[in-house]
Amino acid sequence: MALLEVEDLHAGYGALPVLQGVSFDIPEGETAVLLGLNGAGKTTTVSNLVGLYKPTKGVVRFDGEEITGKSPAELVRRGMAMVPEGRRTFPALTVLQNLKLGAWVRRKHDKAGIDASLERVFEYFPRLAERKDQLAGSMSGGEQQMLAIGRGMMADPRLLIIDEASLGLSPLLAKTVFAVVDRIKADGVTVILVEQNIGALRHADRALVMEKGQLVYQGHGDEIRDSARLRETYLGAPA
Amino acid sequence: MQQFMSALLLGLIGGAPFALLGLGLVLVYRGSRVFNFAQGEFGTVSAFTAYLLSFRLPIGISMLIGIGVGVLMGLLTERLVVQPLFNAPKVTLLVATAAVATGSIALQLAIGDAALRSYPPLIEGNAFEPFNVPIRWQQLLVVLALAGVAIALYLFFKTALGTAVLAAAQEPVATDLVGIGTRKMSALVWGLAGLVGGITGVIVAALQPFTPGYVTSDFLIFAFVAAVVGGMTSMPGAVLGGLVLGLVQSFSASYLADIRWISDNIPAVGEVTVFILLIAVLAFRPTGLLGKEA
Repeated sequence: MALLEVEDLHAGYGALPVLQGVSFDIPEGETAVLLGLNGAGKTTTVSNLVGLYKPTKGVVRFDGEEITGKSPAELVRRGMAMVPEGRRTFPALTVLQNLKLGAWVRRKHDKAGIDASLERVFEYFPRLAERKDQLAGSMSGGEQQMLAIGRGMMADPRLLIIDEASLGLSPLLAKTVFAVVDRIKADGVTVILVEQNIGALRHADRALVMEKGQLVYQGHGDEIRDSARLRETYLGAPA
Repeated sequence: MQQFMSALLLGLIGGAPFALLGLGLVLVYRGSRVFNFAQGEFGTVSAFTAYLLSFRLPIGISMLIGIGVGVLMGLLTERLVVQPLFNAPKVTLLVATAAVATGSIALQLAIGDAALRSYPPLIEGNAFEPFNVPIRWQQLLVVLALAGVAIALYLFFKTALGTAVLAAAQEPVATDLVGIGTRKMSALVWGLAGLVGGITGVIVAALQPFTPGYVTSDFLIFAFVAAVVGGMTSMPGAVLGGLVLGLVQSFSASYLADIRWISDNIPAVGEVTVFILLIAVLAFRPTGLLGKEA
């Protein structure tokens, strides 16, 4: 069964409509990549999924239950976490404080689980363990991206949404980050990558392509990899 | 020696209210990134409530209820002013808090008048007389309140909830995403600011007769100087800043006023030196004495 089901999602900002009927399913355990140019509606889509904004129309189901319009706190409790665009780490708090806040909804009843998650995040990103007492704001962009992903994983999510994981990273750092995405998937977490970088296809089981607030392609992504025409049409990327 | 000890003790006592009010300013700044010009009025309103109740109730109980009204005013300010302006530029909020302060003072003047009022001290008489400087219990209470509030706030920011408050001020979107609820943290900050302001108001009001808006007019500017000198984001900095301010005032009033030319030409030399100190700190150490963030 699909872990996440999105049906005819409409959303926007004030009077400005952005999404015009977006529908897709993500099966549990898969990694999906949501591709599209700037302004295609990718961030709007995921922001409406995690409760930062309320959709104007449509239904979102998580694990079979309707969650449309619920608050981020409620959704993170149910197992949906998001790593926001631009990382948004807490700059004047330490790495360890940032990570512990990621487990906020579990702090009262799951102390042992939080310790296990912390260990797992430090295993994904040994750099974070080395720098656990450093202020987040004093770290490099790549390290902050690791911290943002680590913070998301501290919620022990079943679905992790990562908005622009590789933006602004060197190719080498992007590779490190995607390698961890593969490990997160191997650990049984369903992942949605929001990307402009079609290199992310290599780490995904399925691809969704957006254009002007609508989904224009859904599939396994092979066609995009193989077809220069598709790449050019939807992603503005010549062969 | 006598003059020195007297200036030292009176300086520390005189600086305590600045430090106490400064702690409230730092609390709101760290928790909301707002310069809160209403902080003084959380105190004045608390003091006036205690004053009005003191005709019928024991002064201790009146003061406690007064502090409760301070908390209420903090929460109301958050709900009616801060929340509607949540996404507005911080400078808009700064002006809005100034409006809360002036509105509050106008309301006090409309209800009462500009007369001096006073209520009985919580504890009468002198606590002790070190070096022949008589220290009233009431003055000692200000220092004790400062120590209590400073320690309580220090411990609060060590807790998970305290960290969450800081997170909400630094990255609201991420704070919502991890499930903390930015708006709840905002209400908590302003409620606590009302509490600290209320404690400041009722205790300082027992030191000397007061008028409508007196915490704002007599202490707020100096508390801002204390907080800025201390670094604006640092609790120990606000305490240090307040005490340094008190000492600078009392030493300059005591020693500089002995110089004939100064006493003839500069009426309030203590205040002049305070602002010279502010300019010096801003010029040579813009992050303040203990501040880490610019």
